[in-house]
Amino acid sequence: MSVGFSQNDSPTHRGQLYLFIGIVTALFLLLAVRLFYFQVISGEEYRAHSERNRIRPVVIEASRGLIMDRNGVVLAENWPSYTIAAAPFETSDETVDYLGELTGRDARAIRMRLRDPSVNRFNPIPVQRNVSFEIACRVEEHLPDLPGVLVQITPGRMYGTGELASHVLGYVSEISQQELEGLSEAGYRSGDIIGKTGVEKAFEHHLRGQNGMEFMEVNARGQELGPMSGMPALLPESGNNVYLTLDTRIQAVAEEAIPDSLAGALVAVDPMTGAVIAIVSRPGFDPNLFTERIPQETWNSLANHPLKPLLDRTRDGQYPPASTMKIVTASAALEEHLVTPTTLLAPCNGGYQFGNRWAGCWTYGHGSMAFRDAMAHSCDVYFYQVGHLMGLERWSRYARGFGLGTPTGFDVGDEQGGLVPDTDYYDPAENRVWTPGKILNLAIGQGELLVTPLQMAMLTAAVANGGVIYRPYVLDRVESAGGETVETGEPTARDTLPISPSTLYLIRESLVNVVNEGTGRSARLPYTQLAGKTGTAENPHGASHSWFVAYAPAESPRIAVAAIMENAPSGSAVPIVRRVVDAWLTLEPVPVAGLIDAGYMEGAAPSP
Amino acid sequence: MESQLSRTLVITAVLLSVIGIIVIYSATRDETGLGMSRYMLQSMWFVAGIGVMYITSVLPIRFLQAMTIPVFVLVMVLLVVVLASETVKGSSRWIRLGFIGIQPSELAKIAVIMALAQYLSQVRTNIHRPSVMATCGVIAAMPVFLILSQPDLGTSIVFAAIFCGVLLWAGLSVLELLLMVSPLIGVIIGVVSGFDWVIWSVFILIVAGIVYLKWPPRFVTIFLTVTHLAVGLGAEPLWDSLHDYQQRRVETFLNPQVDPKGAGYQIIQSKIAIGSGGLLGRGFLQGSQTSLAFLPEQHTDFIFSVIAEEFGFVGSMAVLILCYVFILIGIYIAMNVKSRYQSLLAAGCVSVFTFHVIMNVGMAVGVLPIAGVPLPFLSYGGSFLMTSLILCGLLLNVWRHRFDY
Repeated sequence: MSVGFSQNDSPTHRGQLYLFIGIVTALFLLLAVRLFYFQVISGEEYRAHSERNRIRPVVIEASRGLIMDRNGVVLAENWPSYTIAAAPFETSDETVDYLGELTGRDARAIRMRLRDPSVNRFNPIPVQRNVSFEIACRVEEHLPDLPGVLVQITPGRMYGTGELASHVLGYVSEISQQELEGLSEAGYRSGDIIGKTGVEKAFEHHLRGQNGMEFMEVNARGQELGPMSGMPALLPESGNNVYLTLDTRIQAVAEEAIPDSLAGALVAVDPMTGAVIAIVSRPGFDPNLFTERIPQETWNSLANHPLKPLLDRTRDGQYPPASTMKIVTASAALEEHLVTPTTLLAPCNGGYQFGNRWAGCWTYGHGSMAFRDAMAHSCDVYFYQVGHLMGLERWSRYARGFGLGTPTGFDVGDEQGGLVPDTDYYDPAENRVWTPGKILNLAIGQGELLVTPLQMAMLTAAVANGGVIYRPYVLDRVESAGGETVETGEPTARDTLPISPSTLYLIRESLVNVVNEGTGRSARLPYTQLAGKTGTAENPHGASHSWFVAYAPAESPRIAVAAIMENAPSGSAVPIVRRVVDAWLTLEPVPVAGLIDAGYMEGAAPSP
Repeated sequence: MESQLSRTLVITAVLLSVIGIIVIYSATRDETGLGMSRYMLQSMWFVAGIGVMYITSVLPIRFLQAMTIPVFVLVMVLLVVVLASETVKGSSRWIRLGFIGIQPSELAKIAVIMALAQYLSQVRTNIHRPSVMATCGVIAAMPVFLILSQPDLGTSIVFAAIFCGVLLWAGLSVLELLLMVSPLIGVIIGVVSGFDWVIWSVFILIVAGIVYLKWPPRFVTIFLTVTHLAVGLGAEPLWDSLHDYQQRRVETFLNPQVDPKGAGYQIIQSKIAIGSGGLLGRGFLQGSQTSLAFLPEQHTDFIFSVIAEEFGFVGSMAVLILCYVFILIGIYIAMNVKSRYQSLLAAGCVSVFTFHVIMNVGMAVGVLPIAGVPLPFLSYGGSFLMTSLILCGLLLNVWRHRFDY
């Protein structure tokens, strides 16, 4: 036998090739010995083992992390709930039909889930969550006739405060097929619970925890006998607890301040950090509805409600900012030296003639005005003239400089960016035609311009804090179940206002004047000075919307608020903002334990 | 004698494949919801594969050599396409062609064997030169790099087996090979030991010892010193800078048993299945009624457990012996051809079979970690069956043309 190839046929190499054969043979022998040991020597033992029982791996669901406000008031917690699960491989179609009969649910839906080829056939998967105690008992009683089915007690989500902060908290629900396709790698399985919106979705990775698994002995009839000896359960790890910057007390004040008949939004932030104190969209909804399969009629009534309770107006509502935009227009005019604080422009006699167009002011004539009075009385004619002097390019640059036209970077995510029209926006090819008169509308916050209440809150905060545009955030800190801090929310400055300190000083002074002498008079508080700006947004679809943005105390601001009331008379938003500011500034520090006893949680337990 | 050898090889392959189809039938006959039963699909792949095997076995050697670069390039392109395309069950390995899926990582095995054999058989390549070793490393690493990002551990380490097998066959000594892969081993030791500097130091001393014994060219020593220092100093900060989920992915990759979903469960089920087979087995179709039905992936990675349960020690030994005979014939072929190219080609094919059999059976009996390595000819999966038959065709080809140069 000639080994290998002649040019490399050294004795050592030949030895190596035989070594190769030797190693392969040795490995095969090792496997053979191992097989002999398993099958011949301890075969009887293993056969007894396999005949007696089989092992069923059952997922132990992890408790989702709690969501709490800045003081530790619990907003979302867990509640034991009954879940019916079934192992696809063991559960026959007849069993599924019988299960459907017992629980009063459609057997076809259960079958579809169990027969989905992508599920692991041997691990039981949840088929019905949050079943009532009565149904759970009925199924439990009939388990001998339901091979493959099991009743589990799993942590169910409960929002003890009901509608409070429903939009920002969001809700959890069963994972959808689409979500599952992207997440099966991350350990999600069919029937799992996942955060769908709001904080529940944004911090899903913190809240979820890690499921455990126990290995149950199952007899030939598919009934569990108990944990398999020698296979200890892998215990689940609870999710991390999330503390929000919200203050439940202020949130409650704000939600109550908005009449039930109105739709609206309010965002209150700490102007020095961007931390959100309260974030309200009304009307709200009860997130507890979503944790179980939501009845069709309940869903319809939510989805078709004329006031759209599922819409989060703070992030997804886009409105013209109306006269609150005059903060930006005035800043730009002063900064660009188009006017001085004392420049008197052409008099307002209830409107302004521009070319062949008559642009009206919101009220009968204001006369000839300078900057301070024009702000206080929100004279449109003054700002028409300023806008005309400024032109679209400069105006849009400043609007963007104040943080409009882009999402604020809110840590909950899913927000609209609004719209700041600029020279690129007006493109005849897109059917968006620029006419010189449009700047008049834009200057007073009308026209194509759109903002979200969140953007306006951050703009107001920037004016309040001396010019820093912060990213709003609601995540105060994340703690592990053991109390260790995992992550903290930090103030992040996105940008600074594109205006000089002297311009900002003039603007702040004018906003104080709005409250003391102008359109914001009903916001006055006896013990402190507010500064703010009102607005009335024209609404082509109906009655106009009422805006108010404000901060207080004017000299050393501790809160900045933006609020809009839809289809409400001018000035409707003002007293609502005042109540929120008042509540925050007169807030007594209350020990955490006292707060929880104070009744925020009482009577909140949902029926299972 | 000669034709008898090829005949034995073919018979072994066919026997193993037919046993595979029978056992796949037994393991999957309870499945519902599939368009076509798995054993039928496997049979179709088998029939097609026999045809491809025959074609492979008669191709002229020069044609094979000429195809090396086109095949390699094609496979690389397919791997990139797979990476860029949709994912199946979270990890993308497949290219869909109508109703069948192809795994380019399987074809990559053939491409790498052809490329290494072609490169190392050139007259001027001296296996002991560092630049030659480095080139071989690059040839094997290119597909691995793309497959790692899929991520697919089992298929990735096959390339290490091909690389080691072919280079050892080409005359590289074990110590030289060890030196070459030592920085990589250093990284793995670091991650697995949690960057224990004592363990790493011991490892470095061993490497230094080999360097002292072999006394390689100076720049190799320098290269090794630099890379080991870089690994020793840089690996931990780099590791810490990875996200949690990235770390977990690497850990699961290196040690699939840390994955809580797997957690020894498969091993225990597999052991029970194998053990309960006893001497003679429970009989055909009798196995899956019991614990085996609870064994995930029984028709692919754990097919050996099904065989062992249904046909007992006798059956599992028969399969093991068939595999051993197949590999021995392969080695015999590699040793008894004149041309270096053909010898290396055969050695590459043998490396793949040896690695797969040892890994798969070792995993089923619980002596090796679960890495998702299928059993050649037996496991369910069209691409792998096709690859196995093509590799068998290459062995036949080498034997048929053993007097050619």
